[in-house]
Amino acid sequence: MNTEKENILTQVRETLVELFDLEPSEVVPEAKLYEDLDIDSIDAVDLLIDLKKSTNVDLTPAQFKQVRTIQDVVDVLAELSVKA
Amino acid sequence: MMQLTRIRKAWQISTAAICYFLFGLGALIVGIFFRLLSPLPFIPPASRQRMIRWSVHKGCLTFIRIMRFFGLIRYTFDVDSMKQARPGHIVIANHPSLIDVVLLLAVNEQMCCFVKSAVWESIFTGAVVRQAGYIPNNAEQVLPMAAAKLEAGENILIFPEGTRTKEDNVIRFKRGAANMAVAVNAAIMPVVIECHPRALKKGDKWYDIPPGGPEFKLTSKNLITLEDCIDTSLPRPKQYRQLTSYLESYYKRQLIAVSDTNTLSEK
Repeated sequence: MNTEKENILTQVRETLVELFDLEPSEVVPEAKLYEDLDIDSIDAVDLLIDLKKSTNVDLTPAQFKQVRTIQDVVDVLAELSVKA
Repeated sequence: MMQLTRIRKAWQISTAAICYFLFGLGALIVGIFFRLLSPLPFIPPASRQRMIRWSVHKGCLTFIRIMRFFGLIRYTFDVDSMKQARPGHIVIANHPSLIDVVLLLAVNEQMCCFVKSAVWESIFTGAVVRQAGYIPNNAEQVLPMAAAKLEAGENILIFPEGTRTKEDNVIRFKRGAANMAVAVNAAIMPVVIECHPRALKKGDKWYDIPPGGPEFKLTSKNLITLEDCIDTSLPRPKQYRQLTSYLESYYKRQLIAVSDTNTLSEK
């Protein structure tokens, strides 16, 4: 994982800890959103809105649909910030 | 003696079969009746829905009366607070048995509920639940649909357990009810359902009813507003979680309280 992705991961971790009362140690790249972190589809909507604000990336629900793990979230954000 | 038990069991199974058959038939008739009525242009959709829900309410009331008549169930209701509560609230209840929704519809003239696909697709109940404006629980837009109805002043029933209470009687809430409440800042009307002895649990056969019938008691409590129990300035996912655990412990307390009173009165 390169530095850019490391930075994104840190940001995602902060957001998740803030929104879902998680421990920072739980938010690792391989953690699954639903199974491991108990983040359901309704939570995902709120997460999306929050990430959009904090990262300034134009995230759409469609791009978030295939996301299963924290690594997936980081990848989507990295890809979008390159485009932006 | 054996003989008598066997006759009693046979009687119970046949009367239960009659009840369920009448239930299906009633649902079918109401469904078809309003289908036939639907080409008539002079009934506005809102009053149509009211009429259908009223019919469902009366039908459920008749069903539980017939069940009581055959000695399959007993019940008492203490639900004045629910009838007086301002509209646009979410009715929540614990879910001990198969007929909880029927009991709740029997005391609620106009209430929306969620419908599982088996009921939505059934030839007996499909037509009536669709026309009553209930919400199919597998729809993609369940939450926005429910939110719109709440904002329009409808009351919606949801069982936060998502399924019937397990044999262990431990209450475990999912977040669906809290998601809905937080989305539109709706108040919550808690109803506590007691069922002694436990009957018609998940996995029980529909005819497997304890002799004398289980005794149901429905008690509605005071309306809960979100401001009463959570910090509504928090991010929404935190509110969902706080409200869910608040409601879960609320029900645990209520059910412990009633089981204590029951133990005392048995002594």
